[in-house]
Order: sequence, then C-alpha cells, then structure tokens
Amino acid sequence: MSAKIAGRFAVISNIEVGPCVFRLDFDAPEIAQLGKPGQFVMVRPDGRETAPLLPRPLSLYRMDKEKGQAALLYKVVGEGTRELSRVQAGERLSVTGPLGRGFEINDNLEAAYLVAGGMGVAPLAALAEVLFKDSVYLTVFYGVRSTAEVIPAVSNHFEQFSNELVMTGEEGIPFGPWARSYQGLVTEPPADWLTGDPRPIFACGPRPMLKRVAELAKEFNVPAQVSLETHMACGFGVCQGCVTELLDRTGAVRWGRVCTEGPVFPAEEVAW
Amino acid sequence: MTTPDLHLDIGGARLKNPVMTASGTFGYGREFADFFDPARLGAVVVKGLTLKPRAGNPPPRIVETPSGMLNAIGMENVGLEVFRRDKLPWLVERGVTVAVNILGETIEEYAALAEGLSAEPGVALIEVNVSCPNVAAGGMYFGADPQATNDVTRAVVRAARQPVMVKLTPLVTDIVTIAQAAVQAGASALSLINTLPAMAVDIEKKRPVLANTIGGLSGPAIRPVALRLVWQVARAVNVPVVGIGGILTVRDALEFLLVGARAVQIGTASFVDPMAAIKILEGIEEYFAAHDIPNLDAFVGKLETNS
Repeated sequence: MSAKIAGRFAVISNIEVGPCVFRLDFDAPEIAQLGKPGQFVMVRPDGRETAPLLPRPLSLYRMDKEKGQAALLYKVVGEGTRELSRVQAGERLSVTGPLGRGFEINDNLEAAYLVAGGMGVAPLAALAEVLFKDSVYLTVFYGVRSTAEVIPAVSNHFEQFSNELVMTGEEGIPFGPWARSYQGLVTEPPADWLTGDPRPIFACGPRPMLKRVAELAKEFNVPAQVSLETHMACGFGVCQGCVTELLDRTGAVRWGRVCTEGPVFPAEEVAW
Repeated sequence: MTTPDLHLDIGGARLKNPVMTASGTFGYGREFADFFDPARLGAVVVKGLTLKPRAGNPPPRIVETPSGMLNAIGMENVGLEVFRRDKLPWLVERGVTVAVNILGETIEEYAALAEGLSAEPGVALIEVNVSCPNVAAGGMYFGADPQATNDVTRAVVRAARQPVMVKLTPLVTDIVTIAQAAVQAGASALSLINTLPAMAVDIEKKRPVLANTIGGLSGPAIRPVALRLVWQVARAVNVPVVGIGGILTVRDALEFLLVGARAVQIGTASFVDPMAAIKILEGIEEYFAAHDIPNLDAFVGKLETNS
C-alpha cells in the first residue's frame, strides 16, 4: 500500500471552466509527488461543520511535481460539490490522499486508446499527460452529450497530450472546430479504430459507457482498464460503503471496495 | 500546567485514555496506520465480528443525510477465524489496546465468539452489540428487551475471560431498564448509542436510496439524542459509561464526559477526517491541562444540574 496523507492545503484557484464544471488547484507537494493517474483524493472545504459532512471523492486531474500543486476537475451535482465550488483562493481544503489504485501502465506500452465520457475526462487527462510524455502513441475519444458540454480546457489538454483527438457528441452537427468529430456515442468510433489497429484501452465515464468498452475489449481481445465512480464515506477501505460487484477468478460475483481495490479495474473483473 | 492522568479502568482492563474508536468506523486499525499510531488511543474497537465471515448487503450501502449519514453495510466482516489469524496480530504487535465488538443471531453464537476471543491475550475488552435481531425471539433486537439483554450479557460474561462492555441501542422505550439488566448480568461497562434506524428516499427513482431500505443513522444529527441517553444511563448505573454519537470535535467529547461518560467513541468523524480521534484526544489533554483538571474523576459527570 502506498503512502497517503491527511492534511489541510491552501487553494490557489477554483474557477468555472465549463458549464457547472470547476477546476480547483491547490498547494500540496506530497500529493503532487505521490499521486498517480487514476488515483483520487477525498476533499472537503475546511471549516464547514456539517454541510456537507462527508468529504467527496475526486480524481486527480493534474499533478505538477515541480510546483508542488495538484488540480481537481469536478461538476457541481449536489450539495457537496456546490459547497466545494464556493471555496475561494486562499481558503483551505481538507484533503486525504492520494487514494486507491490508479491505472497500471505497462513498461512495454507503445500505443493506447483513451475513452472519456462526461467527467471521466479528469483521470484520463492526468493519464494522457503521463503516457504522451512517455512517447506512447495516443488516440483520445472525448464524448459529450452536446457541444455546449465541451470543456475547452480539457479538449485543449487532450490536443496537447495526444496524437489524435476524436470528439463525439450525442447531439450537435457540425460539431466544433475539431479535425475529427462524430455524432453519436463515444464508444462508436473506437469500434472502427480497433478493427484495424487494436490497442489497450483506458476508460472513465458513465457505467453504460464503460460496459460497452468492456465488450469492445473482449471482442477485439485487447486489455482495458476502467475507472469506476461510486459514493464513498471514507475513501480508504474502512466504511465498506463503496462496494461494487466484481468477478473473482472462478467467475463468481463478489463485492469489492472501489476505494482500495479500485477505482481502476481491469474491465473483465467487473460484473457488468 | 501538569500532564493530566487520563487513564481509566474497565473491569480490570486499563485504558490509557478515554478516546476509543467506534466499531465499523476504524476497520481493523491498520487502515489508519498512514495517518497516526492507533496505539495512542485508549482502545481500538474493531469492525463488528461474527462467527463466520459475512458478505454484507448489496450496494448502495451509504448515503449522506442532513448532518449525518445512513449505513446499511450488513455486518460485512472477515469472521472469527480470519480475524484471529490475519487481523489481530498486527494490532497486538503495535501495542494497540484492542476491543472486539461481537454480534450474533443467537445467544449461543455470542457465547461462542466470546469463548473464541478468550484464548487471545491481545484482546483487552469485548463489546457486545445487542442491536441485532434475536432469531429465537422472532427477530426482535436483543437490546430491546431487558431479559434478552440480561441473557446475552450473562452468556458472554460467563464465556469471556476479558471484561465485557454492552453497546446499547437507542431504539427502546426505557434505556435505563435495559442498562440495569446488562449491569446485573455482569457487564463491566456500557457503551451508547448505536445508530438509529432510518431511511432516505430518491424521489426521481421513487425508491429508497439504500438497497436495504433501512440504514443506521450516525453523525452529529444523533448527538443530542445520544447525550440525553448517556446522561440518563450514567446516573443510573455504577459501571463506566462510554458515550457514542456524532462526536466530531473535542468540545463534543467534553459534553459527553460532563454528562457522565468516562470515555467516548469516535465514529463517523473518522470518515470526515482520518485524524479525528487523535485530534480529539490531543484536545482533551490540552483542555484538562489548561484548566488544571488532574484526572477523569475531576471532570466526568460534573454537570451542574438544574434544580
């Protein structure tokens, strides 16, 4: 088990970068140093007594080891994230992390597909940066429901840290300024790409999307790692609240903790 | 300022200070080793233990509610054998004062657990969770009935080598009668309160949020209820009372000590902040030192009563 810390960290900025989507940067040298793509932190605005009571699990979006800073990307979906969005630069954030098992990167990895749906972009942005700098040939599929949901900072990031960016939208044609864009689900173009060019897949997004990725991986016989999202109370294996159905070696269903066994799982280990 | 002596005695078990963890909120201790040394606490109460391993309930198992949370974990735990083999040694090696919370569906199961733990010198204290359906009595909580509480406590006390603490449920008409029944049966201490059965509804899905429909409410939402019950029980019994219920800060812990709790258990707070228990312990030490309170006797139960 890797080291983790619990502390209070100064917020550098917390700005809206898309519709109800915020990027929060904070000073946390240890977390920037220790964090791996796919790992997460439990965060809570400091000083709020009981609303929200529990910290929220958020994937690490950026880690700048030199500056000693980390960033999160989150959508306001409930009270916890709404309170988080009100945190101002200079205020402090209670953070525990880095937590969980991130993406496993094979030393021999030469090329990969990243499939990101909705807020699943956060951990994959961190992964893209690491893989691209490590000369892995990357094609990123970034899916949204409509053009308005595109987070420019994220699409720019993927353009910078990939060889090809493929945008998909369930609605909206013509679809933005991107060289490659499709109307449809984010899992549709990868099926074509996989036919001629099978590569390992890394994915994060809504569960039906991940299920489809798992099917594609099986069909094309490529490894896939998926990052799951659940509600958590503690984030480090104690509350047993975040369990999901997994398959053991015999194929039997068991409940496993997303926080410590995941949040990244080999797609074939999840009971879809 | 002198260093206060915060130790207490529960039926011959010596606890170095009055801060314990609440069962189910501290795992088997090891999960917190990255954050602080669990041996610093008065005791670590480990996850509720059953004879056989339990897989627990399907998800969703937890949901946040106003100033609290509901959980319906379903007693997921490794079972007696694996606990003794894989979990307990780590705690003993670290010098942790270990309390084991036990639960069963029959009196025989409770007794068998107590007997199995009696062989373990590393277990300092047994906590009996009586918020469990009594199969022989049609699923009624053991802890909802004075006679059943007396019976199960007596059976555990007889089988156990260690002192026994009974953890009371708030879901009763008269908690004092239940508390006295446990003490008569030989309980060395009482801990209270367990969670309050509650539910949450998703109006979009028109369904209960939890797969189990009902879950236990914990957190600051239950603190005033717990405080009142601890006050009532502490006045009525002559064994140490351990206060549990939504303690987040040192101030909350001091409230429980004032109404008569000789120790406290930190539960949901450890999810909010993994350092909560140790911060509360340090806070009590600082408060006692700053107010020249030499020991627990000089503070516990010192509530000024009205009239």
